[in-house]
Amino acid sequence: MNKATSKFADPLAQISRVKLRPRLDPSLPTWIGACGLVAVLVGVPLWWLVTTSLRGEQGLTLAHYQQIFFDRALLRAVRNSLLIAFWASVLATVIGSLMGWLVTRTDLPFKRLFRALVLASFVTPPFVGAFAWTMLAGPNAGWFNHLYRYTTGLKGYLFNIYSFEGVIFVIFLYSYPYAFTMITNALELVSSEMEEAAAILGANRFRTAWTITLPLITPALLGGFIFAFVHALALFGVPAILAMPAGFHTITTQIWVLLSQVPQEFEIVAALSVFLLLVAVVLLSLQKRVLGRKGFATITGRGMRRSPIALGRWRYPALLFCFFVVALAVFLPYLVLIKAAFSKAWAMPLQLENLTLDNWRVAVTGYSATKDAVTNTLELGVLTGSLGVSLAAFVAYAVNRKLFRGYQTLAYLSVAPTVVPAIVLAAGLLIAYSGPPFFLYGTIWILLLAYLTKELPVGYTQVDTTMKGIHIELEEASRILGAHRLSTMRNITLPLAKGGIIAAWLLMFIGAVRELSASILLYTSKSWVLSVLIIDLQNHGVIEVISVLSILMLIFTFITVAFMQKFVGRDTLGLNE
Amino acid sequence: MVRSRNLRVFLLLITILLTPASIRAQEGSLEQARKEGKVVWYTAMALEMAEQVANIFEKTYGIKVELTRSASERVVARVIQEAQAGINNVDVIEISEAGDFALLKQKGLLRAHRPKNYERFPSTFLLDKDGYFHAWRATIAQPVYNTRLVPASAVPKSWKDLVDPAWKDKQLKVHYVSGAGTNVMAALTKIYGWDYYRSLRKNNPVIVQAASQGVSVVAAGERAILVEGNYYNTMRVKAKGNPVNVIFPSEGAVLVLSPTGTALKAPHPTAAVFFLEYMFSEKIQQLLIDNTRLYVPHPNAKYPSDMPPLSQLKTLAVPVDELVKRQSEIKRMFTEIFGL
Repeated sequence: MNKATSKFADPLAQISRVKLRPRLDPSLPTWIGACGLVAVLVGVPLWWLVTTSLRGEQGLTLAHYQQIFFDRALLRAVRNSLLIAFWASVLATVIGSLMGWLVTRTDLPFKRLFRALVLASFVTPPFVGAFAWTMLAGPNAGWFNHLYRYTTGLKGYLFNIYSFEGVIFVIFLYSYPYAFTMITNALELVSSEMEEAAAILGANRFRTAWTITLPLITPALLGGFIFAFVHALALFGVPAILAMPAGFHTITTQIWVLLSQVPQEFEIVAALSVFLLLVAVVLLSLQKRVLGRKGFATITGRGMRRSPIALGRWRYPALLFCFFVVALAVFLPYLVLIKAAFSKAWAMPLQLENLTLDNWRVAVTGYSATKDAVTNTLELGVLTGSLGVSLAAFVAYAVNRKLFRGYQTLAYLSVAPTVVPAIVLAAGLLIAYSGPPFFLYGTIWILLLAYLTKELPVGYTQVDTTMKGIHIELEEASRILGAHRLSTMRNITLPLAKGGIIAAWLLMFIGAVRELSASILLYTSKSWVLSVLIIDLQNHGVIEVISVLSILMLIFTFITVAFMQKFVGRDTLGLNE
Repeated sequence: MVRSRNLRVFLLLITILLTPASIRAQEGSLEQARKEGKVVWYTAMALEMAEQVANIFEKTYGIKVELTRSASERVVARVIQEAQAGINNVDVIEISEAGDFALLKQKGLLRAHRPKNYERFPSTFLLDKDGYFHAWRATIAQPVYNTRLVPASAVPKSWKDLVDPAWKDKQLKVHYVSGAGTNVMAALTKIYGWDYYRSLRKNNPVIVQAASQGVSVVAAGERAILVEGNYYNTMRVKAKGNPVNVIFPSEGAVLVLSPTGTALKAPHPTAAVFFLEYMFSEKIQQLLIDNTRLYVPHPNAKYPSDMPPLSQLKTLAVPVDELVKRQSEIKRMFTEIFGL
């Protein structure tokens, strides 16, 4: 307390003695509890992974790591993963940043609409997209290949989605928004002085863009690339739907298969997981260094209002290009899903006798797992949002108010799960909590742990940003009047941070609803969730019913996004599969 | 009123006295089973039919069936994983690959139970001499084709025909996690060796996880031929008006038996036995034939004329101990050849 307040300390102390019961300040145990919880959430599964990966017949061994690089099949999976992630993120960065530039800097028509559509690609779960694309570009029955044969009269196919290129293509479709977001954020912050200087010196607009703007946003480009890369590396759904039928594995599908066959190979799974984790850690710390470099001092303040670059005769080709990308990511997949959901047989032409509502009945009542899946998914979403936001709020508060020494560690721990691919986290949880003393496997609680851990960085970042904007004076007033930390937080800080907290809740909710990569390892017949059911039903070939469930999942997502836009008025960020 | 009540009591007494002891015992166990509340069934049967079997059980006995369907090997992996984690969730287990099922017996996870009429079952269906598991259904694994994409003249006549390069990019193959996949590979490599699959690989088949998935891909016209289809699923899809049909290859179709047993630590032990008996009961066995065109062990089973009798079919069946012995070889070679 500072000098000014100490003058009044005495009378205030009297008031508090009269009006408030004498109490212990429960704040400290709460902070320690929150801190410990975060450490356990992240630490325990990773600790188990590392120890399992080193476990040998006698004592410690590196043999399982060796096996990754000597077993031909495993090595192939590693190579596939890296190549797919690389090409998908190259495509995503190039296309995403081009669109980002068009939307922020030029006179492209329908800019707001395109931003909304990029958001729609962003929130579409990649596995739903992959599933839809099997109907669009399956080599024989896919729409595009039908069209190709029909128009050219040739046999064969134009594009086979069940292929290496197919996997790259679909991952690209749902990761370009990462690059897009990074670039638009950077471009909005780049001051336009240098661009104007170039213009004055006679450079035309494209030359300015090429020689001035592009170098300025290079860190953002690299950052977006790395983010997309790590995201692509961690995906399970897309390769499960497209790569396995084509006869190849990625690291994630390989982990899944090793755990779902007899005998289960925990040690190799752990070694593969640690490897995947290391790649993610190295890349993301590299990204941090690139983005944090102070060499690009121009990206610091708000850029001035500037007139958009006139695209001239390129305006409509650019519009067409943007439209083409979002059509591939959003319109066509949604269209084919809707058609299949109302058809008796999805590949049959759209005729009255092929239309039916029966798929919806079957999807909702036909399978005993469906009801459980929908209930569990929503329940887990709500729990993740609520518990996650509470935890995030405590942590963000403690960090922002520097409540104890080592608060930086807590902040670091809270964002640490960002670098842990979901399937790696799940493998760790599976090993850690499926034996004594914690029997969580087989319940929805192990899924909750996974979702909480995975969504914590999202929630924390959101709440943290909001809290940074809340001035400390009001809190001090409350404290002076005798309220302890927790009630101050409840009565003063949280109401002020309401917007950020709702946003964090919704973001964590969406994250939990669409989660697949961790759930696929952790679900059991007692804990179905919607995403896993969609993948599982593929094995039964009930494509029309899967379409219905996919649409249900999209509806949940879009309702949440709409809420967010309405109440918080902010774009969704930081979504992962 | 009094009279009629007396009459009822009398009739009840007569009924009880005339009912054979075995049925009364069963009624007693029904009460116990109802008390246990439900039965948990892990199965590899095509979902639609498994749901049907479960629904009838629920309607008849008022006991809920909790059903999980997965590929054969995944079911076994799940049971083992749960046992290791100390989770007792499953009551009745049923898959389509006897080799994997024997592993459950080996690990001591099963309880022996011989269903009624056991001694009259055809010997093919008696998979385990100690009575831990028996086949409650069988189907034949055979190639399936799309009748629109494959003209009658081009329909392959043997397994050997499938390696013809003419089928490049037009085939589907089932993964070894599926019972049909493993059984056919075990049978065909005995005739042709692994070179058969090396040639098949050159046709670039798409790999599916389950035969039932494969049949619907062929029905949609995405692929022309499914190498290891199964009869019962194809008949179901065909009955819905889809352009699919089966091939009886000259070397013989492969008989795929589906072992069934109860878990040692079943959480609902009485309901488990009750459900197992129900699965082997005449009514359900006949239903499997009538509604799903499966072959069953029940001695009173009657087959419709459209179903080729098992005795007249040329089939290749792989004995259980051989499946057990060759399991790791099949997995290794499949992975080597098909890359998964």
